[in-house]
Amino acid sequence: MTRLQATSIGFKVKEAATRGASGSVHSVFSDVANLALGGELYSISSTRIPRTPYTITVEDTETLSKLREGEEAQLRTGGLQIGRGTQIDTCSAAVWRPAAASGETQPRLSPETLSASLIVHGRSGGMKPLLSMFTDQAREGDNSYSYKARAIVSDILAGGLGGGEAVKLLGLGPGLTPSGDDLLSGLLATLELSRTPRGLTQAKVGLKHRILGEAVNRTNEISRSLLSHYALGMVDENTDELMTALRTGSQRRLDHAVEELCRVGHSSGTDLAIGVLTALKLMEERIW
Amino acid sequence: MVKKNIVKTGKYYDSVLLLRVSQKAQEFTGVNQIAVVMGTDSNKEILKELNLYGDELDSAGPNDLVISIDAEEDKIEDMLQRVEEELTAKRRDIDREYSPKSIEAALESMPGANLLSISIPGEHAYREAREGLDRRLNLFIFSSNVPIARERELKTLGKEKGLLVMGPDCGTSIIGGKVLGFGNVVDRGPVGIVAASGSGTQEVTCLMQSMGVGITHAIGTGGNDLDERIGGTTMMEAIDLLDGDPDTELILLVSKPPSPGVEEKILEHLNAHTSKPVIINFLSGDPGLVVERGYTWAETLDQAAVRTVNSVKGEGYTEQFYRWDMDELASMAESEWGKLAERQRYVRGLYAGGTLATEAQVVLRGLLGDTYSNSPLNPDYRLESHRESRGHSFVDMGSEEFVEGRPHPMIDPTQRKIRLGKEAEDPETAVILLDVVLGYGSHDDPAGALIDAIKSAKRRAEDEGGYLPVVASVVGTSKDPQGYEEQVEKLERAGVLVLPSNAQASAVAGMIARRERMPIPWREG
Repeated sequence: MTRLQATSIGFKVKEAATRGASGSVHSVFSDVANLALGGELYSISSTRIPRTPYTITVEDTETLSKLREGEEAQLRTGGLQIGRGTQIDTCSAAVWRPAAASGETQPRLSPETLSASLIVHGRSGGMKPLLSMFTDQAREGDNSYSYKARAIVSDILAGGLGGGEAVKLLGLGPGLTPSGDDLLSGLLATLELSRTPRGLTQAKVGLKHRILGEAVNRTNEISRSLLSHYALGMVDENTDELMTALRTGSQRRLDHAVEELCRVGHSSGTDLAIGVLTALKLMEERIW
Repeated sequence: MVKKNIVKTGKYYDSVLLLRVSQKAQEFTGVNQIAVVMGTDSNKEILKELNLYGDELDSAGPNDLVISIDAEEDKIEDMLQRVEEELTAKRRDIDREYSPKSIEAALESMPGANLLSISIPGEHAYREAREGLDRRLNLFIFSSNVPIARERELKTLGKEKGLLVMGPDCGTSIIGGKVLGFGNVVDRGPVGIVAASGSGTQEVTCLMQSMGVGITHAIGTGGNDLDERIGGTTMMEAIDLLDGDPDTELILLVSKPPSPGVEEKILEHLNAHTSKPVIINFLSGDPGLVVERGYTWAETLDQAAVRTVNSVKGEGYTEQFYRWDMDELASMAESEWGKLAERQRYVRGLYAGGTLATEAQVVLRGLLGDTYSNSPLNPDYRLESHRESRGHSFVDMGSEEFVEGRPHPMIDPTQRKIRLGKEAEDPETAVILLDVVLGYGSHDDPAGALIDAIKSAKRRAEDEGGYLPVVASVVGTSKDPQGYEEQVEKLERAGVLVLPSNAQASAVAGMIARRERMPIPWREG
């Protein structure tokens, strides 16, 4: 039996543990193992991966890579049992909750500030070419996926969220979580965590329902889970820090947050931040 | 080329691994396109647009991984096996050769090294460059997108320490016969070159090589060196180095026009620091100042090569190798323009080399007037979008907006092939103009990689009852790994009109589109 000590758990993990949840190992990567428990995806991840409300963080990643997909998993108060061979003790783990989720973000930094930071820190391969829609300084040429996304985002920025164009981003682009999904996740989270005008509030509720409804057929389970979590404002540590930076108006903090966020995946963090940028633009220009 | 699609059902791979697999596969010779994506409907639509889709993808769903490849038939199985290995290997030993992880480790393995070559994303290049200077290493910085203030800082520090800073955005240097970045295999000889232009250096050195004259060194300065914010620091240092080099008998400077104050400064520096003969090609620049100071002016890259060779070998020596026979060029053009439909009016130049795109505009300025480009001679003629041609257009597809996050078109022809197809669809396109650049760093078979797209463009025109001329020049030498003659032959077999220089290829393309001869003389001298 391998016994691990969790260093941190997300508050949603704690809630599920209190209720009790069972399921199985969904997917295993080098630094992360996903668990499907009671119809929700949770993850066990190394300290190198940003925390989320649904994450159990451990230091020993060797054990993670030995987990097998399909192994049974049971989450209870005090710990997680996987198969017969692995136990994770969560008793003394710190509980993590995104700061942004506790109050509404009122962005004090402009879309231009965020796009300038993204030009420096953003990674290529996904939706980074879309930055040219927000700033003249961006010069990256389109790839096949961003070319398509450009038309969709352009429609959104011209006509708001009511037209239904946003769902066309679902499942679009490279990556385990396709770039279009990452962008939508950033967009949804920002709208959810911000104080929006009445018109936009109605539009975002409609958008959330459409996206989560369509996601069932148009993208994979892991990506769908990201979308549904972000739509509820249940963001990861890096996105949370970005939201906090936007709220406090600290450019230095924003730069640092963007840099950290852009390290996620190969372009996932960048794509997500471009979703945040799109939301800021909608709010600034009062488009809905 | 054949297409193959593989579906990996119910297995997840993380994004970083997917990117790495995709990048590794792109490095294979014979691969035209590859996509490694989740099988969502949106991605399947894109695969259809890229002409990669096959029936086997009908059943793929959003939870499945899709690998779509377009590659040469005899390469595809081997490639799939390698992709499979990448996906399944628990521990990947990507770089089997020793690959130091730091400058310190690199110096431990080669303690006598005095030059550091940096080719990493621009935002990280400064830190490494700074460390290199602190360790007393000369620098070759291939990376672009380094802020100009950082470039100035590096060059000032380099000068203080007596170190050469080639770049940032330095495409080519040949130091003591060793090619850095993109460059061709040329012989050693008496000419020292200083250039703020990678493809310009390649064109000039290759033409000189074809006429039997080699070089001591070709020192790249980086594209911004002659900007007033930098002030020509590297060019002046390089001039001093060549002046002090006993093997260098003549100095050739190649660049787009410097900022006015910088040109004056460079000429003053030459006057004060070297008595060696100097030939200057500042493309689209003003010969007045240069000639006033007693230096030889060259309007174009081919003229720079000719005047340099004649200076070394004697006036008229180049006639046996390279001539502008306008009657012959016009006759070639006429045989092509006779087949055009009335609506075909414009030259569409699709370039891998930026300076070559500029040279084409210089050559055709008299015949076509102002022309559109993402790097135009007249700023009013900048293309609104680098993705859309307009009128006569000369597109530098190696420019930053095309290559950020993607391989340079000299390495990966995919973007140029797609663009070629797009230009062929435009009924107003009269002629496609291309450069095919050989040498170290370039694609293993750049002509071969373009041929399918060229044939397909020509076939499309014929299917619609028309005709599409394609004119090209090959920048390379017989000693290049790809072989100049083999590459020319491949293009000619595909129906491409291949000229011995970019200047002549541009002239022929212009005459085809205008359906008239170039004025004679079309340039000074």
